[in-house]
Amino acid sequence: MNNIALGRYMPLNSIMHRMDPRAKILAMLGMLTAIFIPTGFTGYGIMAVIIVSVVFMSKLKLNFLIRAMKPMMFMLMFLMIINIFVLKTGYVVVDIFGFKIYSDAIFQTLYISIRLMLMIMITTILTATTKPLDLTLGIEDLLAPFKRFKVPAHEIAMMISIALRFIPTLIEETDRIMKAQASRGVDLAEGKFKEKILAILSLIVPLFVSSFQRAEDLADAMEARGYVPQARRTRYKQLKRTWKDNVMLIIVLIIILTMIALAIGI
Amino acid sequence: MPIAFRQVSYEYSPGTPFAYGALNGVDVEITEGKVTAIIGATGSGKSTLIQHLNALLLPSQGEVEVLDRTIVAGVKPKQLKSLRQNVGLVFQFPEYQLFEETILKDIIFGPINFGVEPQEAELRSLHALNVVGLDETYAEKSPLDLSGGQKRRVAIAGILAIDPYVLVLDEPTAGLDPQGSKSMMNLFMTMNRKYAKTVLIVTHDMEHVLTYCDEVVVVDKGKVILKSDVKSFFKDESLLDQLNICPPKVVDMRRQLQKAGMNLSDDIFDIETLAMAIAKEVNGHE
Repeated sequence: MNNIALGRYMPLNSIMHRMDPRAKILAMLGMLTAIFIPTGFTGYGIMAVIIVSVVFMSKLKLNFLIRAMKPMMFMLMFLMIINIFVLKTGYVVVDIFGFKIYSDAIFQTLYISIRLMLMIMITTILTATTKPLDLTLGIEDLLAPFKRFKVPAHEIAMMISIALRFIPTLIEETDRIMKAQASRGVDLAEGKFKEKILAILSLIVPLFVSSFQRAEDLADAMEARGYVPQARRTRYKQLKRTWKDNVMLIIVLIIILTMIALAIGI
Repeated sequence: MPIAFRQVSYEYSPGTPFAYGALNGVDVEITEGKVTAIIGATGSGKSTLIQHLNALLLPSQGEVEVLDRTIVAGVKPKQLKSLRQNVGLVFQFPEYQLFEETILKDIIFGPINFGVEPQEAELRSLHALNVVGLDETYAEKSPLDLSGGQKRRVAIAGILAIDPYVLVLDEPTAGLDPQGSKSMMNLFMTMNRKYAKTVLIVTHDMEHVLTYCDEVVVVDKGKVILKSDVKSFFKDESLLDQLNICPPKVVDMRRQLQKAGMNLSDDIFDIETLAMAIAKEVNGHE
């Protein structure tokens, strides 16, 4: 359970780690937009080079990113199979006893896979280089202008930070209950289907019970400290934007424009 | 059939910035058929140590010998079920692992998983329920409606029903009231004396170590620094000071009296004997 790489913060010291979380969130959104501009393989090649160099800038290991992508492999395989059966355009690549696999099916899958991988890489860079708490501060600040339209920026940020805060706790709890049930002969890897269902049940029920317990305790603790969502509060941590953040945002803007230019074929 | 650790090291999250060596070369042999206390400060590696006993954690280095199995670092062991059937491990706050609708169903879960016939499993479960001090009327109740202490009893019954040779308990009395923890410790004594099980208990309570345990293993910074029988352990004053362990009240009292000039034997380990010895001393001086 401790090997989950997706969404995990890596405590390193790099230029990416020191960037302003607000700028990083905006840059991430910008890069995600750039990925969705249909540019063909040239564009994706450029994006991949840029993203990989950012990975090195943030001192993350490629290994870590690959591990973050592992859970996606199953989905991509599924997509591949669906595409092979459904898409019947383009030229025939392989013909297995009358069952034809078309070029579009393969290209389509490749496109989506590359997009997904790039997206995961970008979001992983954000979560791996930004402390969860800084991330929520950034989200709160970015949502602040929308308060005018009755968007509860602070409440949303609070909910996100509570959710993020409890991810490691839940992982730890899951690990503990899994071990406890393993001691009682639960074997998630082997066994019949019915046994597996019972095994999963033996994990989920205690997890739910303790999660509700925790939620109730947390609510009580917050109330005991007089928490009022609407109250005006100051912050210990002040976010500061520097010229580096501006440079990053400008680069992202240039990337988006380049992608648009590539897409419409200038 | 021995239980032995040979140069066992264990590292959490190896190869990441979170890497942390919880065990650094543990060498110890646990005596069979005894009640052994495992003591040590928080974070010294006690819990990591005991999780090696039923292969929930596999050593990064070294080897662990448990009953007829030897688990060597780097070799992925197979058929762990038989090992887990023989070594029953009760985690800290085991009450959180209950999940079934009725108490009986929850206790029977373990034995059924290990392939015990349903009828036999039910008999064992009802017996285990009795052993932990709950009667049959509880069998059909929901485990979630019980008090904390009762839940823990049910969880422990769930392990006892598996009928392991070795019983390992991680701080079984944490959070229980004095009466509850006393009967809990008596339960483990019964398991050892009456059912001849090897019992390992992780604890912080020196009173429990003195009253209920035969041997003591001291863990410090991921190493076993001492294994000794309980009485000679508590006799060695300088050793206790060096390990920063507060002796049990009886031992402390005896020590203070000796320092104050009373002539008492070092072999006094219970209140009755101490009271008699004091009375003898006092009467003798009159």
